[in-house]
Amino acid sequence: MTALPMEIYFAVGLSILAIGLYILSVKRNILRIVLGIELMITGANMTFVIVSYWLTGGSVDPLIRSIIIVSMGLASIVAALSISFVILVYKVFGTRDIRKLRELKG
Amino acid sequence: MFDLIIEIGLIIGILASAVYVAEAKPISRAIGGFILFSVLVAILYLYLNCPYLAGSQIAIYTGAVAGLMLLGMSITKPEYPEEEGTNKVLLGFIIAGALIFVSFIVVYYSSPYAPGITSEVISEVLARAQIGFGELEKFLANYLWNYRGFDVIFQAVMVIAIAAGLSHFFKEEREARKR
Repeated sequence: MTALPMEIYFAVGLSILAIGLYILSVKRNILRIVLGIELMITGANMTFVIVSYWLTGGSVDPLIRSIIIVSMGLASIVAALSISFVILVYKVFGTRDIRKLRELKG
Repeated sequence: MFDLIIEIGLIIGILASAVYVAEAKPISRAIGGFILFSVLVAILYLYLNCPYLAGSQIAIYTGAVAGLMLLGMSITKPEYPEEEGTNKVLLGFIIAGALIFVSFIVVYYSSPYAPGITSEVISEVLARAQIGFGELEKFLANYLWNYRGFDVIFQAVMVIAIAAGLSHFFKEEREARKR
């Protein structure tokens, strides 16, 4: 078992989710928003692992591990698609600022 | 004792690097912070007896995702200044989070007097895991319950803050439309 109580780890996972949400809602740079999405996914994975460790008392369920590995793969796919989107936006609009994409409004 | 120091350092490092990702001005430094964050999370997974997860974390996040980010950064041109005036928003987030936390604690420990099943579900989960909150938290909850008038005031402040934020947002939108 860990030396610190698991509530603290749980709070850390949720805090990382909150930081990712903050980046998504406040920042304008698309690359930073992609980083925020990745932070949120990592925070969710971490919370999942921590809750499993907490409830089973010292080990993580193999099902949870496999789900997390699939989730990591999906996160990398999300990152790849987002980067391609960033490059496309830069090609069309010449900027990484997401607010300048409001020209898309009809 | 040594374990405790390592774990506290790990948690502080994870949180600090996550905040650095959010607040570092050049995007290259934010990506550096993200790499550090991923490595620290991998170490945390190792600590929780998940070596395969730690390996996957290093391979996928520190390798693939950070590499893609660096590629995207190098292809597109940097712009300065990127963001302005985000500190007030950060402060607002912290205050709102603290208010929500206080409200949650009060509702959780006052379930016989307040409707809602949240506290029952959490109590059930904690009972199954054989984990209690401890005496300090009970004392804090009793204290909060005895002074629940303050909680009502905090919630009122939160509602007013949300209303002010929404009105500010709509005002900005209207001005942008006028322009």
